[in-house]
Amino acid sequence: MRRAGPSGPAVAGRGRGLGLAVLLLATMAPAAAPGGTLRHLRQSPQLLDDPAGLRSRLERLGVTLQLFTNHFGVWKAAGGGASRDDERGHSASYDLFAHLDLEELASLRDLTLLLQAKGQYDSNLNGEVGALSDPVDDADFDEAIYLAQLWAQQGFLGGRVRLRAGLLEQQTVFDRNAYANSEDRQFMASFLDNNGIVPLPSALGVVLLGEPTDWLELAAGVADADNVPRRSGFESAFDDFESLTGHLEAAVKLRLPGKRPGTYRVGIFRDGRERPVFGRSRRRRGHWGVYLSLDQLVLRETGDAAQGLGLFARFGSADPDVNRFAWFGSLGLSYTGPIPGRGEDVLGMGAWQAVSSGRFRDRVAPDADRETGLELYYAIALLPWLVVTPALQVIAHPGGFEDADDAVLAALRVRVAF
Amino acid sequence: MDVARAVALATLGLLACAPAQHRYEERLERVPAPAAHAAHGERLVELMRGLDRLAGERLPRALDLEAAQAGRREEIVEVARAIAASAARIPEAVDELALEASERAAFLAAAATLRERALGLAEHAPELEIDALRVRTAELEATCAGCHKRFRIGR
Repeated sequence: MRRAGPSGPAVAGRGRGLGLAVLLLATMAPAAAPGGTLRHLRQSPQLLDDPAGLRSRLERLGVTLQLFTNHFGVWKAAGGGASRDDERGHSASYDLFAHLDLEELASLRDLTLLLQAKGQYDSNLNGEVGALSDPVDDADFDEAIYLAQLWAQQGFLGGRVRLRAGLLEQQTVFDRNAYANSEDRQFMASFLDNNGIVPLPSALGVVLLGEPTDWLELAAGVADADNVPRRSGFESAFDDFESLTGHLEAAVKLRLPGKRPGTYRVGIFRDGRERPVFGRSRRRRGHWGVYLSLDQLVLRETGDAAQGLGLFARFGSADPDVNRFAWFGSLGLSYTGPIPGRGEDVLGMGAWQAVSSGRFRDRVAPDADRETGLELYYAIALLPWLVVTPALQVIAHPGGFEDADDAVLAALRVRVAF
Repeated sequence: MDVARAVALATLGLLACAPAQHRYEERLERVPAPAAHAAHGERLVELMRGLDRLAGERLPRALDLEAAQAGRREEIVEVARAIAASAARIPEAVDELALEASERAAFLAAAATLRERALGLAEHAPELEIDALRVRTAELEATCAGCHKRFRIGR
């Protein structure tokens, strides 16, 4: 991960990001809704509401445009890889999505297209904590704007079979989870957003999705393992088959009595990244692994489909010869509407553990053991378009080393939907 | 710059399209008021297909799918109301059909059922879960199809 201090690229990125935000706000004045601006601020899911009816007109044409920004502040109270306590960091990002339903738009049956543009800067503390799991998954590098996804999807057999191709984020297809799958809306730690052991490239790729029945989904996909973020990937995608990362996943959808849905996924993957073999002077591609991702709504509040208690769990295992940790597990809960009168708030609690590979311990780092983390968050929906989320994280033995001081972090996320 | 070019190209491409909603408006202009419910019904099916395409899709979690579906749900409400209004005018056409008394009663009852189901859909569409919305839309579609099969001239 490339890191930058508060000067140079970070400041330039912040300046461009701020300029873009001001420009957007200036050019998209909120519509004068009946009841005034205050009413739309309280009721609309977006800050800009429906400027001049543009958003709703586009949606009726099959065009969905959504713009979000997330700001993260993190305070490391103690511990972690860096010796100094009481450190503060900040990162931010924005995402612009354009989803086009080309059947609605141009009579191209079952054809859809997604474009995601993104910008971010990182002055956060992931490096200082030194954990295997980034405390804030959203903070990676500095870039004013780049293309994160651009893919087209063609459906067949009434949409039961779908073929997706282009610049893809594989995490939107594989290892999904209803309660632990978005650093923007749910847990901030990367090992609670995805399975720490499953490679999920953002790269040129192809995915085939199938729904033979209403309760079963099958997914298979390949993507370039060598692509780096912010590159189109054409220079590395077609060099050889060895550098492809592939997944096969089956998802069983169950519905418990009382309309309580759950999804139980099992998958295998082949990791195409080139990795050093521990204790050997060679590198290898093509490491295999397995994973599970489960989510289940267990308590549904009467009268409101959106409120209730959901549980989740993940498990994974991968080749111990090349993976620093060979076993991974996480579990937790998510309660939407935990306090009477706060139906949109979400309380989440989750824990993960990554267990060092025996080969890594034997041949490279004798003190390697396991990293265990815990995150507790409460997402406060101040307004439908403004969610503030305080969170606490405790990471025992960051990096999986026995002598690493446990890290204690407090974080605050502000999410605005424009 | 690549992003800007892609957006510009996509915009140009879209300008050349004939969106489904425009085609629906054109269809409406061509049919008399009592028969407009058929055009509304086709539009309803299109809207439901659009909702289905979004509902089951593996999209980025950051996307707010509820907000993305709000526009289509609003249009479902409008189209359902239009079907109800059109169904209220169906009896105007009954004299054009050479129907026996029992068939005439069945025809008027079917029109009343269509109106009732359309009003029910319009009332509940904003908050119904996608499965329930699908069922309600299918019921409405079945009412249309059943009546057309039995009474449409030239059947």
